[in-house]
Amino acid sequence: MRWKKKQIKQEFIKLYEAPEPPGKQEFLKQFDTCYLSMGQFMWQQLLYIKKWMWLFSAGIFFLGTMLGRNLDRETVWVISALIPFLALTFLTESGRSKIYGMEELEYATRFSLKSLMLARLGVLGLFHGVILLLLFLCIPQGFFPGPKDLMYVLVPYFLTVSIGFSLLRRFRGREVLYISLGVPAFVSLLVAVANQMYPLYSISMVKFWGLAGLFVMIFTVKETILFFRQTEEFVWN
Amino acid sequence: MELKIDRVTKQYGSKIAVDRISLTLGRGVHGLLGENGAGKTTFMRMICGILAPTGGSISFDGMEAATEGYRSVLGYLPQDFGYYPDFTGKDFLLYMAALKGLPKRRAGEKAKELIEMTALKEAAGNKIKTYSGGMRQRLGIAQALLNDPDILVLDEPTAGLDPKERVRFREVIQEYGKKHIVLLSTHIVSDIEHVAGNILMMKRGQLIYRGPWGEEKGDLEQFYLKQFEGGEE
Repeated sequence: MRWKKKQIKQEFIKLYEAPEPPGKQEFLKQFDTCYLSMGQFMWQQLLYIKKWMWLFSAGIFFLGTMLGRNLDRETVWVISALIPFLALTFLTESGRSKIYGMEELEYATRFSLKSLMLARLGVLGLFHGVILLLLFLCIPQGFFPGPKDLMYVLVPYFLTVSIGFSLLRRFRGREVLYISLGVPAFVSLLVAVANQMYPLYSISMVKFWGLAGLFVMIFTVKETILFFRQTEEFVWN
Repeated sequence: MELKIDRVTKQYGSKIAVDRISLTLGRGVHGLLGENGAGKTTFMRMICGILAPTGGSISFDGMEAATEGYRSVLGYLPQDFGYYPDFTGKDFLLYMAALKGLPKRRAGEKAKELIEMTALKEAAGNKIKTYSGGMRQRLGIAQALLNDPDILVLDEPTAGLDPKERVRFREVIQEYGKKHIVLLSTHIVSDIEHVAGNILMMKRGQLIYRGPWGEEKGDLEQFYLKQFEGGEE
């Protein structure tokens, strides 16, 4: 009978039990390579998102649902004008390192600023996604009848985020805080003023909302890529 | 243990901040001297992987700078650093430990050890905004040491420290340099003279001196001042 190498190996494994390696634990201990996994890191970062951001976002949600019950076609713009303030917390979190001058320290750590941003903004973004969806659903049936009307909530949110990202890349320090507060107020005002000038929420404006949605999505993707690219290298002057 | 810097250059438009620096650093304290604007901070930022060089490369034992592996063996104290206003000294260290990937228990132990080492035990529970400049600097030094880094980069670490704290700091760094690579930048010659076994002197983005400084070479401060006489950039 001819034995193949693999068979010989298996026979040996059956016959002889491998001895415990002496001093294995001591050997491993000296390397001390015990580090956090990415999952543990993300969970830890979740705890570093300020409580007021969760509360503020929840407050916007409750205000939105309360207003939504009493709205009609003439006053629906109020919801669109409220949404940018939900994005305020997202922008404040995005610029937090820059506001407080922590980014240089955070860049030079194992997980780096990019992972930190991805972890925190990912979680906050997901939370906001749920709020936007619930806001859309909570508003009286038939009022926001189809996906096209989802734009009433998405466009103001992503317009605020994209303009915010575009400006945040260019500033640091206290200016970042002013941008985080100023951009939502600007977009909210823009919605209110535009609504006074044009019948934005009439059936005839369906195409406008479709185009606005497309433009804002492209702008947001572009600005998000540029924003995260900046978190790979420290730029200070 | 070897930090290899190969023809590293950083250029901003027409200005060359760091000009083709090549050197290999082993265990010990390496003192980087140079006047303001000589390119020290840019050079250190590139070593920390937070600024990409325009040309050349930096690696530690085969690991390229700016990779996760490289950053996990790095400790960095920037010249100016901020803090989140609601953080206490201990919160700050635990936060930095999380970013450095230390598990919670180990982070707690290490933070406690470093708080004691930097004499911040009394103030560890207080908000950082109540700290003096020297206390903040000591906290910065503590965070740089959290992960027992193989490469410790300190940019102007003694700024804000009183004479007693400076002496204590020198002792700590000297001890740490026995087993690790410490790169210490300053424009205060006496800080370097006492701790650094290897002197690196920068002028206009270039290394103009490297090597140990013995008493037979005379006064380091005099030599340093001579290099920068009339040397306004």
